[in-house]
Amino acid sequence: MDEKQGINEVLTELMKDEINPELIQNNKIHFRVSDDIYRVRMPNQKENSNATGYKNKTYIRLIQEDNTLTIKQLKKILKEKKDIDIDDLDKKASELEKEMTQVYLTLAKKKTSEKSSITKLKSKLETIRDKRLVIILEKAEFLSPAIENQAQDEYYRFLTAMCTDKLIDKKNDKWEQVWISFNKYEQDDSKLPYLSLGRMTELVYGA
Amino acid sequence: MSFETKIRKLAKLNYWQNIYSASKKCSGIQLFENNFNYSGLQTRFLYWLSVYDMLFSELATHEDKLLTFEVLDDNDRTDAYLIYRNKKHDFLWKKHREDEQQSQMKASRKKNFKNPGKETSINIDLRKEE
Repeated sequence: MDEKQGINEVLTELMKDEINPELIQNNKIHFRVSDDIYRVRMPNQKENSNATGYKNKTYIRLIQEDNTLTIKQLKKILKEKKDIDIDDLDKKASELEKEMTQVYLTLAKKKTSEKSSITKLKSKLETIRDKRLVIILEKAEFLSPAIENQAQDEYYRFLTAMCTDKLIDKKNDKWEQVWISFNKYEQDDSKLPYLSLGRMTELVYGA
Repeated sequence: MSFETKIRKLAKLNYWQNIYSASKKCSGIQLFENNFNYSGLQTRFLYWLSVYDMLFSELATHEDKLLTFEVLDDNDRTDAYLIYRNKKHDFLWKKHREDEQQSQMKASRKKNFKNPGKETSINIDLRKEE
């Protein structure tokens, strides 16, 4: 599958405009891929501990490899070699948050009849929010090669591999684990691993 | 629509607000199928259930003129109101503490003036020595 097309399909799937009480009635998220129904569920203690073990193993492996960097080292190199200051990005994001608070405080005092100023303030909020999001995404991209972040990504991929089930018998509500091992998950080049990972982070983070 | 928006929309519904109120009074009423190992979505949902529960009760008691149904219908305006409400409560709490400190100081000054400490009596014999 073309990677770009796959990512677009995943994004479309994730952005579907549904308000489904199933979202919260249990600790699982159901989703459909083609004609099949899948679910991601919250990991149990054993799965969580296995995922943490895998994360630690990844961290230890990476820290011993050449050309790998921790967040602290990466921040230093970005500043010295590329003139990219991560602390400065944090500062900018926090300034935008303060700016947002001021707009919120003005908005709070508006009466419903003051429609045009409400609209203006809301669009101002949207602009600041977008600016802040750009900074946060930029920061995440700069720091994504860091060992800590790579290990954390592996943690979520491991959980996704363990906690994605497929509905195999609708009548008896029978589910089966999609990938019998993390290796099988890594070998799957369909869009399902991406979709499941997206759903898993939503389920765990709640956003 | 983001998950947060979907969750807030659900949390505002009468159905969930009623179940939430009932579950606070009666421990037998369960909100979810699972009652442990809550997902992040469920935790966010519980947070918004409690926030809207508080806001709807304040709306019913007309606690603040700025809080209206229209405000609760709009997420940006609700967020704005929550920030304003926090600032207001911080201010009122600070003011309350300052007032309390001032009145304590006034009371102690008054007490010192009227009744400066415990009374003690010492018997002194002022008769001339013979």
